Amino acid sequence: MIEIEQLSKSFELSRRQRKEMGSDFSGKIVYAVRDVSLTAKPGRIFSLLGANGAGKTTTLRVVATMLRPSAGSVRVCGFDTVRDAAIVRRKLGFLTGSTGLYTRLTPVELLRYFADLHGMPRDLFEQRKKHYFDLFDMHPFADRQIGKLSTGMKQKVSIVRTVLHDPEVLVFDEPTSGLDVITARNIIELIRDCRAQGKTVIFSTHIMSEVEMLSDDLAIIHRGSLVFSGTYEHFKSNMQTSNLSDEFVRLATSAEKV
Amino acid sequence: MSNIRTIFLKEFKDVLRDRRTVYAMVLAPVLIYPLIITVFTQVMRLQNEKAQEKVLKLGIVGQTLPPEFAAVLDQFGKNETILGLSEDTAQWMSLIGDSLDAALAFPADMDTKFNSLEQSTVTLYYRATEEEASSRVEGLLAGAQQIWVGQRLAALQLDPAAIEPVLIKRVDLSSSREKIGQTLGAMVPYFFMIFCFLGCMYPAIDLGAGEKERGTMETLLSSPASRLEIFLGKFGVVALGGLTSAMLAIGSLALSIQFNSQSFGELPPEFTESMSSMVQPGTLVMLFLLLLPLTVFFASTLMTLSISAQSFKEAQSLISPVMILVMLPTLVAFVPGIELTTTNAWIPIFNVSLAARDILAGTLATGPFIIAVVSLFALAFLGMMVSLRYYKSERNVLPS
Repeated sequence: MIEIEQLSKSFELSRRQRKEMGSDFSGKIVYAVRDVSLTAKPGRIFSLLGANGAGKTTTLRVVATMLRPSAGSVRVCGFDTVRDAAIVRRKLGFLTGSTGLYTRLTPVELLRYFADLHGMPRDLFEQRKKHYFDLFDMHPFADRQIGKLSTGMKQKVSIVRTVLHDPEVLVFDEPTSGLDVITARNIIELIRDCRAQGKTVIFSTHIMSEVEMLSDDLAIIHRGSLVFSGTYEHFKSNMQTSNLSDEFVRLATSAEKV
Repeated sequence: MSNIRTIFLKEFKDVLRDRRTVYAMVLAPVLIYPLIITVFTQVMRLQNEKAQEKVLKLGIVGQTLPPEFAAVLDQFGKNETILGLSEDTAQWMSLIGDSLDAALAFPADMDTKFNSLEQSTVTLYYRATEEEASSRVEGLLAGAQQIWVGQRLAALQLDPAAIEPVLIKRVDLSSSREKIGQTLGAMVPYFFMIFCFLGCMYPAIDLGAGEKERGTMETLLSSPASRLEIFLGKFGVVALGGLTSAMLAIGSLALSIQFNSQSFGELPPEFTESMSSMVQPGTLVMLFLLLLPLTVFFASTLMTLSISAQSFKEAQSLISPVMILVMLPTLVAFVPGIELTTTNAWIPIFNVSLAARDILAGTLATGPFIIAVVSLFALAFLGMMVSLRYYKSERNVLPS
C-alpha cells in the first residue's frame, strides 16, 4: 500500500536556473509537485499519467525515498518514507525506462550485489536466481558482461533485479520509455504478474495505450497538481470526450484555465 | 557495515574492469618511471658518447696558432683546426654551425703583449645554439690560459700562491643522507602527490558522475543502503586507488633508479647507505602520517567535484584546473632554502612537500611536523564531511 497525503515537493533554483526561467519568473523556488494525495492499493495497478515535466518522476522518487517531501507525507506499507526510509527501501522494487546497469559486471554478479544489499541469504538468492533465470531463459548469458548484452537481455536483467528480493511495492517510472515493442511487452507482462501476486504497483507513463491496458486506478497530474484521481472505471464512465487522449488534453487544458 | 563492504567490493571489482581506470591507477605509475628514466639515461649516455666521439672543427683566423694552445689541442679530445680564415668575418661566418663548429681569432701582437705583461683579447666566434662546441673551445682556452699564467708567474719569479692569497677549504658537515635526502625527499612527495591524485581521479569520476550518467545511481539509491554507506563504500575504493597508484609509482621509481644505475656508473656507497637509512620503520610511519590524510583529502575533494557534475566529461572539466592547483605547491620542495616552519606547516600540500623532504633528509623539526599532521587530518575530516554532504544532497546525487 502507498499512501500519499498532501505531498508537495519544491526545489531551490540556482542563479543559472533562475536566469533560464526568464524574466517573468521572480521566485527562488519552484514546485515540482503541489498538494498531491493518492492511495495505491495491493493487488491493483495505479497509473500516474502526465505530460513530460508534470511531476510524475518527482512523486515516484519521493515514494522511493530518493527525495524528501517539502510538505505532506508518504507512507509505504505503513512506514514513513522519511523516518523509516531504510525499511521502505527493503519493501520496494524500483525500475525506470532509463535505468542503467553496471555494464562491467555479469548478470549474476549484479544480482548478487543487490541481493547482498537487501541482506538476502545465499541459498535463497540461488533459489530465486534459478527461478528467474529459468523463467526468462537467462542461463546462456548469465556470466557474460552486461555491456556486451542486447537491449532485450539487459531489460531481463533489470526486471529480475527489480523483483529478486520479492518486494511488496513496485514503482515503475516510465518503464517502457525508449524500449522496442517486444522489450516493452516484457515489462507490461511483469507489471501484470505483480498485480496477480497481490503486490502494490504504481507506474508513471505518458503513453495512453499503457494506461488503457493496465490501470485499475488512475491519477492525472498536470504541472505538479492532480487533475483527476480515482478508479479507471470511474474515469472512463465520466469521460466527456471520445477517447482517453482527448480526455487527458481536455482535463489539462481546463486545469490551465483555473 | 556489511553494506559498506558490499559496495566497496563491488565498486572495486567494477573499477578494476575499467581499462581507463586501470591504466591511470596501475599501468601509468608502474610504466611511466621506468620508461622516462630509461629513455632519459640512454639518451644522456648516447649524447655523451656522441660528444666524445665528435671531432671539433675549429676555424682559426690567420695562419698561425699560439704553441700553448696547439699543445692543449693535441692533448684533449678530437679536434681539427682549419687555418687561414680571412679577417673579414662576413666571408666565413655562415659556415659556423655548418662545416665549422666555432672559430678563434688570436691577435697578431699577442707575443709582444705577453712579453710586456699586457693583456690580449682572443675572440671566439660561435652560435649560441651550438653550446656543446663553444664550451669545448672555452675549455681548451682555459687549459691554454693556465699555461700562459704559469709562464708569466715564472717570468716574474712569483709563486702561484702569491696571486691567490686565500685558499678556501670547504668542510661539508652534512651527512650523505641529508644531501641525498634533500633531492630524493623533494621527489618522493612530488611523485606521490601526482599519482595519488591521478589514482583517485578516475575512480572518483567513474563512481560519481559516471554512475549518474549511466543511470545506475537511482537503482543504488532505492536499495536498502543508506547514503552514508554508499558514500563510504565508494570513498574506500577511490582512496585505495590513490594510495595504490602512489605506492606503485614510488616503488617503480626506486626500481628504475636501481635498474638504470649501471648507466650512471656504479651507485656510490653513501647513496645506498642513505637509501637504507631512509627506509626505516620510523621514517615510513612519519611519511604515512602525512600521506594518509592527504589521500583522504584528495579522494573526498574529487568525489565532491565528481558528484556535483552530471556527466563524465563535465567532471573531467571541473577536475582538470584543480589538478594544476594541487601540483604547483608540490614543486616548492625543490626550491632550496625553504624550510618547514610553524607558519607554513598549516598550508596543505605545501606542508607535505616540505615535511616529507625533511623526513627523508633526517632534518625534520618536530613542532612544525605535528602542526602539519594535525592540520592535514583536520582537512581530511573536513573534506570528507563536505563530500558526504554533497552525497546526501538531492540536487547533486540524482541525475537531473
